[in-house]
Formats: sequence, C-alpha cells, structure tokens
Amino acid sequence: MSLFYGLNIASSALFANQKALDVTSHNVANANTKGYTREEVIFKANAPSMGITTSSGYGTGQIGSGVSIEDIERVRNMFLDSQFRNESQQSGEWDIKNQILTAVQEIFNEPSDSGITTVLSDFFDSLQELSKNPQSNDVRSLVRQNAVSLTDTVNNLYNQLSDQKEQAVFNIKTDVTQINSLAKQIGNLDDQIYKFETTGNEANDLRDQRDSLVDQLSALANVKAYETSNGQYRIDIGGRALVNGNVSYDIEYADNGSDITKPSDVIKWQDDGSGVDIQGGEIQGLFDMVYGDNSGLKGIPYYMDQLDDFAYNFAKSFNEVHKQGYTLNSTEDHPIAGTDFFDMKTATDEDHKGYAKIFGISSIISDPVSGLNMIAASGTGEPGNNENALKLAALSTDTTVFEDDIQNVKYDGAAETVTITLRDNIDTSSLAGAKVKIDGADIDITADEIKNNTITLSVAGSPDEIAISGVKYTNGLVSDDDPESITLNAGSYQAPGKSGTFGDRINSIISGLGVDGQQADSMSSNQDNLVKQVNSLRAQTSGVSLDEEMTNLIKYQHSYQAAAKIISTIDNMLDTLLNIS
Amino acid sequence: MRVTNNMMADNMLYDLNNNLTKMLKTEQQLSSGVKIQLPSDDPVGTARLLMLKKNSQSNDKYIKNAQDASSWLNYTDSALDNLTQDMARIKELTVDGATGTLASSDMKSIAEEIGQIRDDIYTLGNSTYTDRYIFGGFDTQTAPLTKITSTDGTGIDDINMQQPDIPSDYVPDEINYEIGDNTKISINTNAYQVFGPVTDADGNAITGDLFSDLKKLENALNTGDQKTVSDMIDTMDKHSDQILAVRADIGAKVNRLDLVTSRLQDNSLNITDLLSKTEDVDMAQAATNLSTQQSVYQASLQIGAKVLLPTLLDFIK
Repeated sequence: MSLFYGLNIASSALFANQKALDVTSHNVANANTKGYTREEVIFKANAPSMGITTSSGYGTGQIGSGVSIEDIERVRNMFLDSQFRNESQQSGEWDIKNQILTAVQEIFNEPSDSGITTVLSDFFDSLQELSKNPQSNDVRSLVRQNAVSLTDTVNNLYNQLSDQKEQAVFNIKTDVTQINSLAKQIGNLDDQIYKFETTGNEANDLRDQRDSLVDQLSALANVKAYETSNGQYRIDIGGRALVNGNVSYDIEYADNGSDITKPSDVIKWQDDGSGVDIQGGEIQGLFDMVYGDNSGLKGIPYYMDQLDDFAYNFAKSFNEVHKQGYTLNSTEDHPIAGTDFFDMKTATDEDHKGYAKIFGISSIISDPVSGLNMIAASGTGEPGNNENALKLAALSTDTTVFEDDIQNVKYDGAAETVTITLRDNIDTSSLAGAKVKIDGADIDITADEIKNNTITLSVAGSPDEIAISGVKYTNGLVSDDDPESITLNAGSYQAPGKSGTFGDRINSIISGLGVDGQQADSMSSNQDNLVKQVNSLRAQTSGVSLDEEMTNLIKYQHSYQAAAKIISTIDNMLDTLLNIS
Repeated sequence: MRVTNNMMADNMLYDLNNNLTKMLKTEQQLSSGVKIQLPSDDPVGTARLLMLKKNSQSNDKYIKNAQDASSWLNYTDSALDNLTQDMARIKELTVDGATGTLASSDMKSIAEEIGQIRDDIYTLGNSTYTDRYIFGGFDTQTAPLTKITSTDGTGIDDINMQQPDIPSDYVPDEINYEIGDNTKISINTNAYQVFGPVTDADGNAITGDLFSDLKKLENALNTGDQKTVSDMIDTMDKHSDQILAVRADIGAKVNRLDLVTSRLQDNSLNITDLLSKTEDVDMAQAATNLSTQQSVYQASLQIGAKVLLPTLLDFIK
C-alpha cells in the first residue's frame, strides 16, 4: 500500500466524474430530442483489495479501491410504453374517423340555406305553383329547373362522397406502405442493437430510435411489441410476427371486391396471402369508413346507399303519380297520359346501387322543344285541371312513400282465400297478369281479383308458401331455395313499418350523421387527453430536467475538483517523501 | 413527483390550445350568426332545426296559396258586381217595358239597350285573369261564352255556353288550391253556375239560361209582346237571385281565406321565433363568452411565460 495506491483511487474518481460529465452533457444536448430517454450514471465502488495481515500491520479489513461506472442506465418504464401504445392505437382510429365524418358532414352542408333539404323544398314549392297555374310555360319551366337542381344536388353529393372514399382508400394504401417501411427500419435497428450489445453494453440511443419507430407504428395498427431474450424486438399484429428480430414481413392491400367485413379481408401478408388480423389503429378507422355499409357500422358506403335509396324511391313514387296525370298536349277527347318524369335507367327495387349518381330527369321532359308540355299536371286532360299537380305536390307530406309494396298477406282457412294487402298509392294497373306461385304452382292474378289495394285469391287447402313476382317486398321469412317467396308460417305476414316523408328521410340521415360525428369528436378528444397523460408520465420518468442536469453538473464538477485536490495533496506528500535526504 | 421542463411546456401548450379552440368556436358562431355549424355540434338541435325549417317553408307556401286564391276570388267577385249592376238596370228596363203605355219605338229603344247590356254581360262572362278565363272551369284557355249569328229571323245573335243535357246532371269543374296539409279550397266559378238556368229544389229548370232569356226579352220588346215582357220581370229576378247566391258563396270563401291567412301568419311568427331560438346565436352571450375566453387565454400566456423561463442556469454563477 503505497502512496501510488492513493493516486490510483483519486484518478479513478477523475475518470468517473469526467465520464459522468459527458453523460450529463449528452442529456442536456438531447433535452429536446423526441423520444430521447435520459441516461443516468450508476457509480459503483471498485472491488476492495483484501487487507493482508502481515507483520507490518496494514491489512485491517477491506481497503476500497475507488469508483468506476458500472452502467449508463437508460431510465425507461416499459409498462408506460405499452400503455402509450394502447392509447395511441385508439387515438389513431378515432382521429381519422373524426376527420372523415367531419368531411362527410361538410359535404352534406346541413343545416344551411343551400343544402339538399332546401332544394327539395324548392322543388315541392314549384309544384304548388304548378297547381295554381298549370298551363303557364313559365311555371312549368320553373318546375323543370328545380327538378334539375334536385337531381344535380343528389348527383353532386354522391360524387363527393365517392371522392372521399377514394381518398380514404389511398390513405389505407399509404399506411400499409408506411407499416412496411417502419417494420424494415425496426428490423435493421434490431440487427445493429444485437451486434452492439454483444459487447455487454446497452445500445441506448439505438433503442430510443427503435422505440420511437414502434410508437409511430402503434398509431397505425394494433401492434404488440415484446423484447426477446437477446434484446431484439418481436412485433406482432394479430398474433403473427411483423418483425421478428432482424427479419420483417411485408403486408399488402388488395381489394378483390367481394364480401368484405373486416380488415383481414383486404390486408394480407405478402408471403402467403392470409389475412392480417388488424383490429385497431388508423387502418381500422379507415377500413370502417371505407367499407362500413350497414346500420351497425356507418361508413361512407352506408351514406351513399341511403342516398341511392332516397333517390330511387323518390323517382319511383314521383313517376307513379306523374303517370296518372295528363300532359298539356291533351284534350278531353284525346288525353295523352304522362310518362316517367325521372329516368329510372336500369335500377330495380332489389338493386339500385349507384342510382344517386345517375339520377336525372327523363329525356322526354328535358327536351327543349316539347319537354315542358309533357309535365302531366292535369287530372282529366283539360289544360286548366290541376288535380295531378296537386297530387304531385302532396308527395311532400306523404308518409307512405317508403313502405313496402306488400303490407300484409293473410290466409283465411274458412273462406279458403289468400288476401294480399298492398300499400295505398300503388299503381295496380301493372298487377293484372302478374304471376303468383302458391306452394310452387303458378296462379294468374286476374283483374277482378284486384280491388282498391287488395288482391284476393281463392286457394284450396292450406298453403305454406307464396311467391309474387313484379311487386317489391322485404321480409324475414325467406326460404332458402326461392328467395322471392314468403312463408305463411303463422298464417299471415306483416311488413315491417317504414314510414316517413321524403323530407323526414333526409332529416334522419343528417341527424344520424350528426350523432356519429359527435361520438367520433368526443372519443377523439378523450383519446388525445389520455395520450397526453401517458406521455406526461413517460416524460416524468424519462424526460430530461435541466435543473437536475445542472445540479448533477455542479456535483460532478465539485467531485472532480476534490479528486484533483487529493491528487495534488498526494503529489505534495510524494514530494515530501522523495525529498527526504 | 419528478417534473421536467418539457412537461411544463407541453402542458402549457395543451391548455393554450384548448383555450384557443374554444375561442375559435365562439368566434365562428359570432361571425356566422348560427349556433350549429355542423350536425355533430348538436345532433338533437339539428334534427329539431331541420323539422322547423320544413314547417316554416310549408307554412309560407300555404300563405302564398291562400293569397293567390283570395286574388282570384276577389277578381271574380268584382266581375260579378258589375253583372249585378247590369241586372239591376235590366230589371228597371223590363219594368218600364212591361207598362202597356209605351209606343213601339220606345219599346224598340229599350230592346236596343237590353241588347247592349247583353253584350256587356257576354264580355264579362269571358273575363280573363292572368291569361285564364275565370268562368271557364278547367278549360281556362277557351272562352266559355261564344257568339253565333242567329238564323231564326230575330236578328239577335245567340250566345252559347257548355250545358249539360239535364241540369241536375251538372258537375262543376273545381280548381283547388292547397291551403293547409290535406286542406283544399276551390277557387273558381263556372259560367253555367252564373248564367245557367235557375233550377227548383228537385233540380228541374224553371227558366232558360240568362242569354236565351235576355234574347227572348229583347225579341219580345222588338215585337211589342208586352205579356212576355211582363213575365220576364220574375225571370230576371230569379236570375239576379242566382247571381247573388254565387256572390255570397264567394264572399264566404274570401272570409274563410282571411281567417286562414291570419292564422297561418301567426303560425309563421311562432315558427320563426322557435327557429331563431334554436338556430341563432345569442349575440350578447357569445360576446361575453368570447371576452371571458380572451381573459383566460391572456392569463394563461402570462403565467406560462413566468413559469417556463427560469431554470437553475439563471442562478448558477
């Protein structure tokens, strides 16, 4: 044990404190780096040398041998990380839903003075004017113009919704590319980290980068990140590895058009084509918006379908009444009946998808020479008769327009008749000659069996199944083999009531949209708050506090000075020793 | 609890942002004047608003229809007023002509005046209002009364209108206007109702139509047939009564329309009031909110500045 031993101890202090100062300055330099975790120096007292009991009397107990840095610890809480990723996933999903639903609301532009409700109302107003002055060319021109406004508005709404959908699909593709890219980068980092850590130290900054990438990934999809025993990450989506060590697996987006109900139907693993089980994150949000087409999941296609439904039923009901009237060219002796006012194109009751895009007035009405005369306002053929115009205007308050054609089918065992009740305004002229199948056997409907809006057929025995072609219905009693038949289970069938005027239907679409929008808005801001809170907790543990670093700076500086003082004292002592002469 | 500078900065930014968001919303409301910018701001309010708008628009529509109906009816009534005056003059002349003391030339001058008044009535019967014959029924583009040169030697033209074979078979053409949900009112009067033959309680005709009766009268005056002229006094009275009955009907309709219009206008005021409460921003409230939010924002800025700045660095020499 010489003085030089003391020098060693002091110099170990110098090195340690210098290193600690370096760590402090690294922390300060990176105080504002996103995702940076502060590093803390762990000092450790060096292994003591054993006291040697010799006759010289030195060796009492252990003698310390100075300080060294055991570890530069990265102060990070893995639990908070996984909490953050959970919240971030929800936040990603609701943020994008909020964004898209706001855009859809702005497309509908209600409540306002220029939305579809106003245009619809103006059209019915012009029909009222027609009822007060059926022959006036000016008024007819106004009716036609307002009809064109209505169809244009509906076309426009449909097209804008369609554009939004395309935009969202593009976003999905971008996100998928982003996921692949992040996965690849994480794989690379895993590789570098592994190689570095074989030396026994922790690759602090590389790990920070990797965690930051995983944070970004978590907003996009429901990823789970685990650290494996060799320090590499395994990142799973839906139970299957996206990144495993330094290998990353690509995913791709492929829309094959059929039967899509969940994200795994369109997003597939590139190597074997099986579905990626995504259940959260921005991609889930986008998926819901792009493919949600039923009342359980109201995405953009749901609103497009509602618009189609509205336009189709409007055109159909309007045409039905229009055809009951007579045009301006008629005379009482030669009445000319009205034709279709709106062009139905190829739409049918069962399939009118996309009708809102092609909704328009028929070429007969839009003809510049004779179109105005073909508006059928008269009920009898006389030009001053306004009965049909009144009926057309009354459609605005008609609450039966969305009802099924078949309201009720009843079998009476005693009288052996089947009575089919149709909805009130139905055009029964097309029914005579329609076919009815009872238990598979064809029966013709003759004109005398049709009275007002009921059809009465005599049927012997008790039939189980009745199918009617040419009339629209929907029912929950469909038999699998013949989708058009109604099964007379309890002896009668009652249509689900679906009433409301055209205005009411639009109003309910808009308020439904409002409710969804409000939900997305509040979920989104809640999630933002939660993410912020978790971030705050993370910063609490891992953030750099300048005050703390400054204090550490002073600590290490003083320690360094003290150690230096010790060296100079020992130096003096050595001097004294060496100068003994 | 360990607090870092970044945490303080982040928190401050988050809260500032929240304040600014509220301010933005208030400012949007103030500058547009409406409370609800998007349906998601207030879905229940939106549903109510849309329904109120629909009610307001249909109410305005009915008011307009009622006013147009009133115009038509008033125009018809003023034409019939002229007719009534004509009928009064005819009665005077008929009474004159029925006294046995007039010379045949005097009777001829009376006949001539009757002829003139008959022409006037013919013109009245073919009155138009906004390009439509008001007595034409559904046939608003065809004149209801037509004049044909007579061939029966009387020298007096025939004036014809459409008549049913049996008076009791007559169904008047009714032009209806809508003045409420499923509420219609008929606004026209047919020529046959005014000028046609007067019928008894069973629907049998007890006179001819006005024009053929006037022709008969004129002819009788021309030929000096005093007895016929005398009989005509009663006939003309019956025609006058028929016309008065039609006018009474019109008057009743006009009164009804006045009531309806007044009620609809009251409704309109109520609906506008409700609409305003649902849709419009209370300016005073919004301005107060904005000013409160501005103070909060300023306070948070000032405090933020005080809290963020100092670190230990400022105090270490």
